[in-house]
Amino acid sequence: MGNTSSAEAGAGDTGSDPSTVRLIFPSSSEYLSLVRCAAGWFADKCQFSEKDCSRIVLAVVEATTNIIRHAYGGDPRKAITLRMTHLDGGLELEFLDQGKSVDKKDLEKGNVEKLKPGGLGVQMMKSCMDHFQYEKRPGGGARLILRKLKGPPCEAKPR
Amino acid sequence: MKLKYQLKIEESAVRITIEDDIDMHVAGELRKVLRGTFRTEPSLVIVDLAQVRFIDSSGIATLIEALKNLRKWNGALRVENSSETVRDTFDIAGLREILGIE
Repeated sequence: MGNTSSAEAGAGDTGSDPSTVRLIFPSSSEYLSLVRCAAGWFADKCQFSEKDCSRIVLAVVEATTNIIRHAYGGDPRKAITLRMTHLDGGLELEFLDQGKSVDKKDLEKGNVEKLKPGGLGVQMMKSCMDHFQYEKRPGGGARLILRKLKGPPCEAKPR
Repeated sequence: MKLKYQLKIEESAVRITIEDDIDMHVAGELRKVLRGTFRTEPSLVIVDLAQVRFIDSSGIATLIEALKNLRKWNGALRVENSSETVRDTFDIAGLREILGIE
């Protein structure tokens, strides 16, 4: 490790935030196991309780599944970016895709009928996390931001 | 074959022991396995989740679909041996009672 090339050292100096992990992976359900492991590890590093870690992992899988199914229509050759950031008192997850975006009204107003079978997933994400923000990106695709804050363990918030 | 499971016929009941976590990647195969048991119109299908550490909405939707199918001939679906994490997921989905999970 001592002979780091200048190129590698340079790459390390381009604003990499030590509290952030970025994963870019194919839009294939095969990668859900990888995403689960990564999210579980990150949530644990952020010192969430075991129960909250499980819920964060569930939200990450639901978000990824919705991108695979709805944004990319099951095409496994597209890219999904997941950025996980350790916040003061919590964590933030940002999902970026270049697929077909969903009408925001259907997500924000809880009108999930049109999104079935993904509708249940959206409700579960909202129950697991403290903040849910979905927006279309100017260049195409969508951005989903989920945040979870540390706090006293709460009971499940059923739909 | 992605989903690991065991199938056992017990009189008029069928027991499916899932040996894998359940997400979108295997939910389609779980649906096929469940549908395969419907040919004999069993009165009870037991889904044993003792070895399942994770289930997502795809898996839950598959179980609900199976329950709806079984009801066509008054059959029932019973989910057994769920871990605390899996039970929490059913709670979050608001579907624990309908699946008869204690």
